[in-house]
Amino acid sequence: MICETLLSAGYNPSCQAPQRGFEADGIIINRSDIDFAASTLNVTNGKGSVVLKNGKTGYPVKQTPRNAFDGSTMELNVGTYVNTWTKNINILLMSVGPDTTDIVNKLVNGDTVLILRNRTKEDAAWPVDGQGVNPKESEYEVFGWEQGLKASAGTRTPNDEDTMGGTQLTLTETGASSHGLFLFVTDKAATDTAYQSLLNAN
Amino acid sequence: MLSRETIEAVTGLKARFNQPYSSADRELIKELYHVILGKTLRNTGCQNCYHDAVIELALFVRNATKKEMATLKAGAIIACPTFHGGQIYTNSNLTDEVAREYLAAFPKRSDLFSILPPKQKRAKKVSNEETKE
Repeated sequence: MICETLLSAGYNPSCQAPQRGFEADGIIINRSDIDFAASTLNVTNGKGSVVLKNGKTGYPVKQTPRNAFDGSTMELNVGTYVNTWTKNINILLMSVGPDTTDIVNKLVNGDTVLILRNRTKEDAAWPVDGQGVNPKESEYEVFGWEQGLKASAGTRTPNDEDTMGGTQLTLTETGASSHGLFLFVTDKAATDTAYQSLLNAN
Repeated sequence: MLSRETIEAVTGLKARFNQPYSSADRELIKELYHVILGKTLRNTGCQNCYHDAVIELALFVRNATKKEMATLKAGAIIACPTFHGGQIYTNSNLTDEVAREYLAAFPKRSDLFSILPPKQKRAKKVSNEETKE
């Protein structure tokens, strides 16, 4: 929950045009595999590391580059006492078969965390470098960190040409207190390395 | 000492043991056989010579790596501005020595490791002897 509600910085838009949407690849992690004690990401910091438990690994999620994760939304829910965000991430599985079915079944019944790469890499809202831009902190956005992502919708249209008869799934996190949480370690290079290391079980 | 890449290459080949090896795999096996065992793998046309070579390599690697190396958990890296000038360490370049040094500076961050570096026995012995004196 967000306890501090007083602003401590202003907003200053970046001169660079933000790029909409996500890159075509991300990493999905079983929420139960995350070592929350060793991770530094939290709602207060807004950014930090994501560390997995011994022997656990993340799994790559690849989409077609055009409009990857298309239709994903973040919506504010106005409550009586506390406002929260509902985050919907759409994933298209453009294949059919026993392996795809196995993945779909696990996503449909699972509780996951998804790290997606924003096409916008710079953040203008926290001007710490004196120029109104906090560089390279916006790329890796983490969904499901607070409440987990759970399947909320699924459609398979075998004759649809656009999805090649694949399955569209919506993974939803409800009740998230933070508008956004980001994987970030020290600098851009370290963050890229940390992101890649999520794919190696150790 | 075997590099982590070499160990991973042998592990990967062993994981695919029940499948026929591709031509790229065969080239890799030949190379690893030469690098690790110092012998040349001769293609005698036998059906299982590449699979036999992988068994030989896997056994050698298993014996050579019985001593566990410091290993970071998935997602964990060492990237601290005050440690080694901010150099980034991952499992591909982490050594036991660096891990020990890091843990000496930041003991609370042992939670980043799935395998802690082995303690320096020789250093301990020396310090024990010094204490006795």
